[in-house]
Amino acid sequence: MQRLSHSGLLLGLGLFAISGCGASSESASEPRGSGSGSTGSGGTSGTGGGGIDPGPGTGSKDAAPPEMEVEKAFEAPVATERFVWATNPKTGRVALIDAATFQVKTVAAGQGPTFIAAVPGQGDRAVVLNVLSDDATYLSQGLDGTLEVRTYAIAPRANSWAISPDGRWAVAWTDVTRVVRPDVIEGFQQISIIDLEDNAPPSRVPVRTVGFRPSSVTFAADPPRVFAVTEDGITVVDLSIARDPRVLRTLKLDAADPITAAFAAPQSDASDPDGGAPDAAMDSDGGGADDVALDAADAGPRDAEDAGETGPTVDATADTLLPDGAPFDAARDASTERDGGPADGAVGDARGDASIDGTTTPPVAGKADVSITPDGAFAIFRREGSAVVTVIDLADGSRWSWTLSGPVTDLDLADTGNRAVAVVRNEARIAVLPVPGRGATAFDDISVAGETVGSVVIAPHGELALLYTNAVAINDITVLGLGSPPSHRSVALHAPVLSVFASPTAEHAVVVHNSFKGQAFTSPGAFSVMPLFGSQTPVIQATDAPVLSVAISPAGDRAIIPVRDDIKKTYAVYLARMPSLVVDRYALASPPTAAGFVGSAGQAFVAQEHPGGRVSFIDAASEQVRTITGFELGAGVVEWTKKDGGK
Amino acid sequence: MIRGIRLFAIAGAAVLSACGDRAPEWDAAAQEFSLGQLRDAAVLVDRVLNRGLVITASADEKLDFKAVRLGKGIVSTTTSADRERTFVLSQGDPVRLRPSDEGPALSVLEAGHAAQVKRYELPDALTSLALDPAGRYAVVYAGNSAGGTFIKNPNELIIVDLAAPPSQDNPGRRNLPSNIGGSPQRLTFTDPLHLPAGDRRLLVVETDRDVMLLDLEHPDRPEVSLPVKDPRTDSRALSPAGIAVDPGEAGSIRRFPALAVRTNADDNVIIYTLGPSDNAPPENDFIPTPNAAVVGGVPSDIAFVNTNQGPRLAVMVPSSTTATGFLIKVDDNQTLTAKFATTYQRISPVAGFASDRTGVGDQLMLWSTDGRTNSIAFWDLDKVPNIPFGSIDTLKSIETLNLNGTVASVVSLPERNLKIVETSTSALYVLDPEQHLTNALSTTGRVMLRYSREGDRAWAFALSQKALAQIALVGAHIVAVDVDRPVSDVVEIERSDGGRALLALHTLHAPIASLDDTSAWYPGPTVGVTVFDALAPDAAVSRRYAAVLLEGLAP
Repeated sequence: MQRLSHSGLLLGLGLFAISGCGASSESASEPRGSGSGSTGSGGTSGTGGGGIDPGPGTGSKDAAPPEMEVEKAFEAPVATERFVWATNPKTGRVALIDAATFQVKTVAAGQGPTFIAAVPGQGDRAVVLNVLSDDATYLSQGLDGTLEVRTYAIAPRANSWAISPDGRWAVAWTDVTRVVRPDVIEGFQQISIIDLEDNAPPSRVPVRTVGFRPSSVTFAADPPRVFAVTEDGITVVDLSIARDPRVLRTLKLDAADPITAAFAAPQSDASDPDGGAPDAAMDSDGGGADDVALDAADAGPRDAEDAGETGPTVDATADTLLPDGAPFDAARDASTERDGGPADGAVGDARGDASIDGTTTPPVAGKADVSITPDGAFAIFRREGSAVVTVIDLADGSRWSWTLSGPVTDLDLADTGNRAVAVVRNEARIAVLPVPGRGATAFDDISVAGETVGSVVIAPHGELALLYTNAVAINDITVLGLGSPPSHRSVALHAPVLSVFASPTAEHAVVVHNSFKGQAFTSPGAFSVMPLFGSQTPVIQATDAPVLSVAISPAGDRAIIPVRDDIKKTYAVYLARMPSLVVDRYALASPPTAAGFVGSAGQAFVAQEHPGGRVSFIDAASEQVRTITGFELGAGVVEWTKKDGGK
Repeated sequence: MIRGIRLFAIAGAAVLSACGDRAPEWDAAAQEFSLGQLRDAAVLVDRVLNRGLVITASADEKLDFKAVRLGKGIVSTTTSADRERTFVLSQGDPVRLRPSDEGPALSVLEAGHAAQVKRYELPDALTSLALDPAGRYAVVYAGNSAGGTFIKNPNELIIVDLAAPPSQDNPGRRNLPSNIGGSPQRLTFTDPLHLPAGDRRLLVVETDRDVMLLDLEHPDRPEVSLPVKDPRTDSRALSPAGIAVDPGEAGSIRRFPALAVRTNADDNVIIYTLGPSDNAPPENDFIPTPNAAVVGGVPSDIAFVNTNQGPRLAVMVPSSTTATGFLIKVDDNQTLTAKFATTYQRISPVAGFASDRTGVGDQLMLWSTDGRTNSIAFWDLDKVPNIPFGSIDTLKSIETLNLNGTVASVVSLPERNLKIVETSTSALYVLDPEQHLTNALSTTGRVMLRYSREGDRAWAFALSQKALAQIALVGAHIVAVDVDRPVSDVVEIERSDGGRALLALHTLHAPIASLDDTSAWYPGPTVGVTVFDALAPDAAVSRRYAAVLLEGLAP
């Protein structure tokens, strides 16, 4: 399962459960599994009751569409300790709305400030990408009311931020999914690395190149590293020398031979025409992963040959053992996908198939779903349609794999980084994988026969996983305790699941339901608030418009769910309280665009579409709604002090 | 005739005896005067002689006259709504060459001791006056009036604290800062607002391009400018066209004071909520934050109202043939709409807006003086549906009153919650919305109305005609009053014995309204007064005083 990668989103939405607090994963630019035609063996669909006909192929799990990634579409509000930050590309200004006093101030950024991210850590800080002037503005609101503003020249066409959890590093990069009709040869391989602790930064921050079309960027603190997950693999950049970050290597995700890592020589500033070291920008072949592969012979601290010779990278199929010790091969699943063959039985059958196929090379097809551990030591990934889950040691490129009982439909890494959960929907099996699990150590293989699960969300702290499917209309969710041994229970809901959001305290979850185009239920939308412990049953809430997003307060005591129907012009926000599970609705005057919580008090806010900017705050204590419209107008309020003639 | 001969003889003797060493006033003819209407006195302000004639009444329709000195160059006479003070604004000598030459001043005559004039020297000769309904402050400013010095600072406010005697610091001078070059157009003194640090009143200054807030009780606190548009993205010349103020709810964090502003051309109403601030004095204890509500057209009127669903901002948006009323919840813009088949432009809470009255809906009077609307309507806000957005069924909440002619004017009498509607066809309607009573009065021509201070009766007269009547507003009972001289104006005052006296003024010519409509000037060299018992008007026991400006020369 793909995960949100923006730390701003984490702060704003409180989706810690999904993001894994620093763990990151690759983002697909198109629906997963498109064209692959997932097939597999056996089982029945619609378990748990309340299921509806998902369409052709009902009765065969193979016919089920791929699991949907829905969280990615949710826009992230930007909030810090006290302020909500909003950009105005038209005026070139950024508005700061004080959530305590509702006072608004604006500050000039560059031209076309558009993409903004909150900087974690103490105080109120944000960085904004100015898309027209190809620079970035750093804004820091001091407790004394002063606002520090810095401007950095960055590589052009950046549209995304990655901020390190400690708030020191900000990386501006280009997410191709945000680019309208990109040419197939556009790689968007430049990233700009900003050291926010450098009070006298260079006018142009270091720009480095990574693999083709990065899909996520994440960090490790010790040693300081930035990792760019790209179509070419994972590019590792060393941040030890802040003003001269070095590209260490790009690790291919799939390596058919023992030499799986292509190491690069340290890379100089990609924007520097004089280069020095091999320069992606000057390379005639387009740069990217090929470039770093060519440079591998120059050897970095570890080179590919080292990795191939000494690392634990192993043949994925040969060395992977199932918990019961039986060798297993995913190739059969791959082949059945191609065949489109019918389902052929239950879990036992699938495991029995493992010995049939002798293919040893993992299939390199389907989008990769990559997560990186919070310490930056390892990456774990799967590919759509593949039964193989692979861990890569990001230090040396070594890798090892598990081959599960069937195509892995989702993979989630706990925010603790010590375990991952893989779902094999076709076989109704769950694998709890130890991370790193070097050498593909044994793992817990849990059968959830009778249930249909294809997606997984590991709740914060890594002790609980929520399993569900949004591919077919199943009204159940499975709660999997990740203790030893793992245990699971099925919780009946009253509607099919679209997505699940666990609270930061891992005590509750908000389940957004899928009406399956009105077949499952007729309300425009619905969500449930679900306790993860105890016997209290989930409470379902029908909504009068489709759910736009879900945000849960840092304390886990409230969730805010905006809904939006542009055709009927129905706009509202639902506030769910936990543990009471009571839900209240607040009508909105304009379409919501994002929602979240701001500050330590956890004041809920809903940003809305309005030419002048609009945000509604819902007070935590009184639940009083306060709407502010016209950020520039609010900033135009002048209190004329006697000494300086106005402030 | 005999009385006329006697008068001539006495006047001639006076003229002869005064030859050689008399004040220049004796050589000036009283050509025009204006009228101040205090609770217990009428004041004839003679701007030629720079004086006021204070007329008080006692039993048996007897009058007492006292002349008081006023400033030179009188530009306006204004009486407060409660009739406790009459303000005479003067500009002083046009050229001051001697220390004894006068400067501009505001002279204040107060009920109870009108002859003791308070004179506040003004630093500048400004020509507009704004009065605090609570009687604490008067503000002199340039406004749009002609006159005054050849160059003026429109942002200068001269603030007179009427509770304090004239002194070096009273009046005070305040220059409004502006970053967009605005100049004040209208001044509004709010009721006490439930501000975070305590209840206080503010002065709201509508300039021609923004709105300013002043804390008059804390002159050291800075002014606050509230924009009505974003100058970076909006090049329109927007100016405030009206405001409405909600004092907020005392001691509540759920409802702070709010100021709504409509503009001359925008289809938004901007609502500034005055929430708490972290600032310590001398900074202001409130922070205005804006919230704009789109109403789909340029509003013609706004008012805060109570509904059964809580307080709302009522907005009227007329179109060419219809009008739409909006009820906007200030906090979150929840908006209900009501369609009206008539182009109503104005909205008036019948009983006013009481911010502490919760849960009970007001009744709004809808009306228009656009010359096209021959009805008024009452909108019952106690039947507002409990929905966040949607339409209100006007069939259930609107009561329409058709009139004989289009509405020419509407006068509110808050003391009795009465509305007096005059139509273009000179019909009069006395409306008691709370009692659902409407009394129609027909007239043969245009009549003028003056009201008792208590609001329980009106005096109707036909200008410059021998026509006068008393109207008991409750029940619309009419008592015709015989008068043998054309009436220019009437004023009802308290008598010294507790009764009421009606003074009918007789002049040779009809009065002329001043340019800024703050006072009327009565041309003519002299004025006579007929005194009636206002509680039992009877010409047979009335008393006539002729040529009162001659101060006793006449019998």
